[in-house]
Amino acid sequence: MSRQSTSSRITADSKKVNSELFVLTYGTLVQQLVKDYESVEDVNKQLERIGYNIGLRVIEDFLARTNYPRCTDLRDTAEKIQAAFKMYLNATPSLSNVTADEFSLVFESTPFGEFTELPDACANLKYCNVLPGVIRGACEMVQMDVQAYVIADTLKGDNATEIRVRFIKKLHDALPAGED
Amino acid sequence: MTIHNLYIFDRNGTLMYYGEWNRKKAGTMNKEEEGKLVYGMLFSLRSFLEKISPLDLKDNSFCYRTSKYKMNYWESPTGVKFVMNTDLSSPNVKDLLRLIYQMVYVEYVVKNPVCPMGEYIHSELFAQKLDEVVKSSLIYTSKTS
Amino acid sequence: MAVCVCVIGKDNGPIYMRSRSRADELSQTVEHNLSQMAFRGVTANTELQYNFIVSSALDIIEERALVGSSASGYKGNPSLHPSASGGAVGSIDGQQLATRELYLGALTAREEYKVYGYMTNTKIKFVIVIEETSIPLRENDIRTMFRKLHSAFCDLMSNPFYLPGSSINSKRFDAVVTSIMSGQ
Repeated sequence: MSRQSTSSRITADSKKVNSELFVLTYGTLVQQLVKDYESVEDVNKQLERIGYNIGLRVIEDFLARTNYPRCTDLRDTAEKIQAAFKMYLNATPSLSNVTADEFSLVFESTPFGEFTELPDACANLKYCNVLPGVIRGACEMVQMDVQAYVIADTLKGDNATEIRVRFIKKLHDALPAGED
Repeated sequence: MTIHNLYIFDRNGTLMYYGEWNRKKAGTMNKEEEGKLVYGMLFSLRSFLEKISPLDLKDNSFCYRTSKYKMNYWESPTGVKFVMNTDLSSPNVKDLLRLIYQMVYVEYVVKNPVCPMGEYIHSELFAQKLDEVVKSSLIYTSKTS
Repeated sequence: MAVCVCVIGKDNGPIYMRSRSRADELSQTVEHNLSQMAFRGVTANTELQYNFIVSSALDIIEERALVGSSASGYKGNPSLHPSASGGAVGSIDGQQLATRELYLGALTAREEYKVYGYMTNTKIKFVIVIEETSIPLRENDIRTMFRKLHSAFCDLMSNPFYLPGSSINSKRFDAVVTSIMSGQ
């Protein structure tokens, strides 16, 4: 087995799943959370936590596939997140309002929201709230503490879905336990 | 060429896995202690290298060699550290470590939802696949030395 | 021109009913008004009237479906089918012969309206009441209407917040029905 061929197989190999199946799965998950929790705020929080846990893992896969080196600045990070959305969700968000420590990812329509209509009782539900969680989790693994939140949502009548990401601080490797 | 052993540490320095293949002299302490010692030394060495380096360290990898063996270190961007001891003639261990990360760690630890991250890996599948990758690598197979 | 669109659930209870309201009728163009006037003369209480029409159509649907499932390759009652070669459009996937055709054709016909039926394999029935006008609707148009309705219904079912079997309350579905009723 030559090492060259296996490593090229990794980057080429991206198993695909039917997008409708995925959208339905996600919808069912959200709906079940809405059923299980009393307040919509709690559902938003849970979705964010689920996303965070996904982010912790998906970043490893992303780095293993792409071999990207470390980001030089936030703009670089933003572009890589954009590439990751293309890779995992086949969604192409555009970047806007990029400043030194903030940027926005703008989607034409809400990801996973293809069939969704929010009932009146869930007017405050952030349907795609896993995504900010994924971004937060993934960035944390590469030593970046960020805050991410949905600020506009097509399901609520906005023109586009927008996720705002704010850089807070750089994290440092923890010292080994018991060593000073 | 030969491979002696492999340590995997998570970003906080917890020993996640230890595997050995041709370790001719058993260590004098238990694995946990040994892991801590290795990590502590590497942590210091790394920060020393960062401070002293005349060039920008891009790829988070280095190695040191004694007259008997070579210790190779590679760190993923997420801070997972792979440390492998080989004999002196082994080249490109960095690539093998990256391959272990891509083909074994990501596939069988990260993508296994019941495998907690940040703890010692008890997955048998992981151990088996790791063994396969290591044993199929050129460093392990060729007996030129 | 479709005047009433109705969706009936598995257990034969209506889950969606939309008929042309009086306000809509009044805003119709002049050429339509004449026939509409006559129509309104017959049906004083429109909503109730449509309910009755649809309910009576249900029995026929049941009967058709029974025949359809016992004899594979059934393509509707030929006597009620305006075009005998109706299967051509329906056989999108070329497997139509083996399965029952979803489109059930014209169910009843009166002088002022015609009722068409469609049943999905999950026993959801769609009924469209077509008002008889001087320009008769072609079979294909009716099929298109049902297909639009069916795909809108599939999208609705995909909405995680819609409880299957409950009455339909969706803006998107409404919009499709409106476009069907206004003649595309």
